[in-house]
Amino acid sequence: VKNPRALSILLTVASVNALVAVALVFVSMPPAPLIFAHGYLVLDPVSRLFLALINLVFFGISTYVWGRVRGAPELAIDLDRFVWLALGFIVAGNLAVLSNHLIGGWIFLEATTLLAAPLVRHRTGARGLQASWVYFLFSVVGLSITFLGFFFLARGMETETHTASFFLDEATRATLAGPSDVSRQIGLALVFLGYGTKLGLAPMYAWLPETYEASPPSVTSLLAAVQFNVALVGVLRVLQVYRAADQRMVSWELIAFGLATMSASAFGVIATRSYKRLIAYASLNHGGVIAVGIGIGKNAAYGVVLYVVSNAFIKAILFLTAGKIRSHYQTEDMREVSGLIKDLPYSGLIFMVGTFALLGFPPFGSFLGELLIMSGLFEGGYVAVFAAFCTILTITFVAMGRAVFPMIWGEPKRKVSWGSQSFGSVLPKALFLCALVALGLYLPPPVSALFRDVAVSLGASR
Amino acid sequence: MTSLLVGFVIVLVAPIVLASWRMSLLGLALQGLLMGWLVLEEGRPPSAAVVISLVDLILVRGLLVPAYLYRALRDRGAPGRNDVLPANLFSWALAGVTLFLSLRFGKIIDGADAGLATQHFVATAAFLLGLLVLGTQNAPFSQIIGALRIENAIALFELSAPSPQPLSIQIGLLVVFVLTIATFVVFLRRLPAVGASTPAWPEGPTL
Repeated sequence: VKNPRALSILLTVASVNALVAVALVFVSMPPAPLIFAHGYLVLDPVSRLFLALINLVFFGISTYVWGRVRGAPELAIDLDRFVWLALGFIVAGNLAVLSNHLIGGWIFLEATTLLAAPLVRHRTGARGLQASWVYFLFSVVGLSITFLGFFFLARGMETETHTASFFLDEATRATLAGPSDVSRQIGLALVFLGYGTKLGLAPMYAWLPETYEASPPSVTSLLAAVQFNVALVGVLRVLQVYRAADQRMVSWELIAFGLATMSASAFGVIATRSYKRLIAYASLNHGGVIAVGIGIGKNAAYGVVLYVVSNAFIKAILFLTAGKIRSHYQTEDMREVSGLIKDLPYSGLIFMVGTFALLGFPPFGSFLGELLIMSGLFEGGYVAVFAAFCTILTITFVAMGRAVFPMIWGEPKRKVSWGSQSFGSVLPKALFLCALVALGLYLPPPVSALFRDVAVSLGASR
Repeated sequence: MTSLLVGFVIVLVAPIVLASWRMSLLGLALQGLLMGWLVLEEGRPPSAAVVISLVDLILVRGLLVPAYLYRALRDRGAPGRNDVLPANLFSWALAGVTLFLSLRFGKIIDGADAGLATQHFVATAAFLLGLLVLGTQNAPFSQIIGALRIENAIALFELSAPSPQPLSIQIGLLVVFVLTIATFVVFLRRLPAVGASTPAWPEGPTL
């Protein structure tokens, strides 16, 4: 099978989506959000940025799938199903990002879960089936908790003059009109707990390492770099409505979730022997950093935006490269992989650079983002949080380096054989790497302006 | 309304004591039907929102979901006994504490309105017992029961919502719920029983 029809459709849709989404970043937009589809969808800085991000990553993943199928024709079996599910997934993801209604966004996020569950078990045998089940169950329960949170938020919103509405503008007005009460606080706690499950935040993160490890690399990237950001938009929308009125509650809850997640991640990184699971635990760490950054808001907000975008590219690069390493070595045990840079030069190089970006080395966007978040912590007077944050990051940094560097630079344990690297499988990772460097060194003015606008919606001053 | 809520508590607790999967499904069915009855008893003026609500509660939760799961379990030849909670004093004590805490919670958030406080007590109890089931069970069917108990608890909370969601959102929620159930059944048919061995790694290349 050279180029199955489904694959052509996937690539075409992904390319068109990415082009449109990136064009939306560069095109000049009026300052007021553009609301359409009877008020259910909105085009504002948050939706423009995240549309561009998830569609670019999706394009990269589609290119990778195209390259993999061309290199291993047996992968074309049952490909149609994979492609239709992936296309449904990205459509639902786009609608969730565009949603102007909190529960509408929740429905589309749940739809991405329904479509991702069969993708997780695509050609992965019984282990993938089990991981898919764990993923689905946690997602359903997490999203149910979020929905219960919405019920309490509605109760808190209802007054004699206001009826509860989850359209963003109406909800914001209703929130600012009345003081915070116990219903609203319970609602916020539940919403963040539930969405935190989708983001892999503690305490309900157990699904993430297992699912990321067992899924096909392209699906892991979809979950880690696309669905993560779709769920994050859900959190940002809730913050958009409630941050001004419930700053303290929101901040401390997110900071607590963030630090707990980073701690869990550090233990996981130390304990694991699988490089795919190691990247999964590092993703947990990133989720924790983002939660802390969002919790602080204000001065850290721009750093969070930079970090979120970098994080999506890093995860896509590393999980896609992990797929290549796995197919070459037929193992996910780190102790069996050594001398990657000699054995698989392209993948080794990309894995090395991706690891540097993951660890927050300059000149990548993740470095600048992390620095801004840390400076936001210090300037905001969160000294104890700053100390804990730095300690956990250092532990994770050392543990990651100790595990990954021998994989890259160690002596090869088998006869060196340069594996063939198709253009399709290298191209997306190379593009993501360029984007990562650009995020740290130079952003075109429209992109930089968009980042600032999103940071403002997170609480930064103009 | 109070008698219906008392009935709800009974169908909530009975499957914990009578450990059979048929009883669990009957419990779920009765929960859906009782919630439908609650809507009818409120005597809301007929509207599309009320119709969607009745379809969700009576048709989907009360009849379709239990029937669908029943067929899947019968085809699988599942043994009759199925503990919703582990059959020991500790689990039952936890369930008792859960009921007590729910009662307190209902009083705290709706102290002024006894009817609403009772409804929220029952919904909270259903939610927490669902979490307890999820936390103590590792068999797929029991976990599905736990998740569905949580879904029903949220539906019971929703019945006391001050104003209904827009119709399009209600339809979206119903569609997502039906698809979730369909996915649960797919997993129930495919997942091996607890303890069955699974191969460590997939064979062949993956995407």
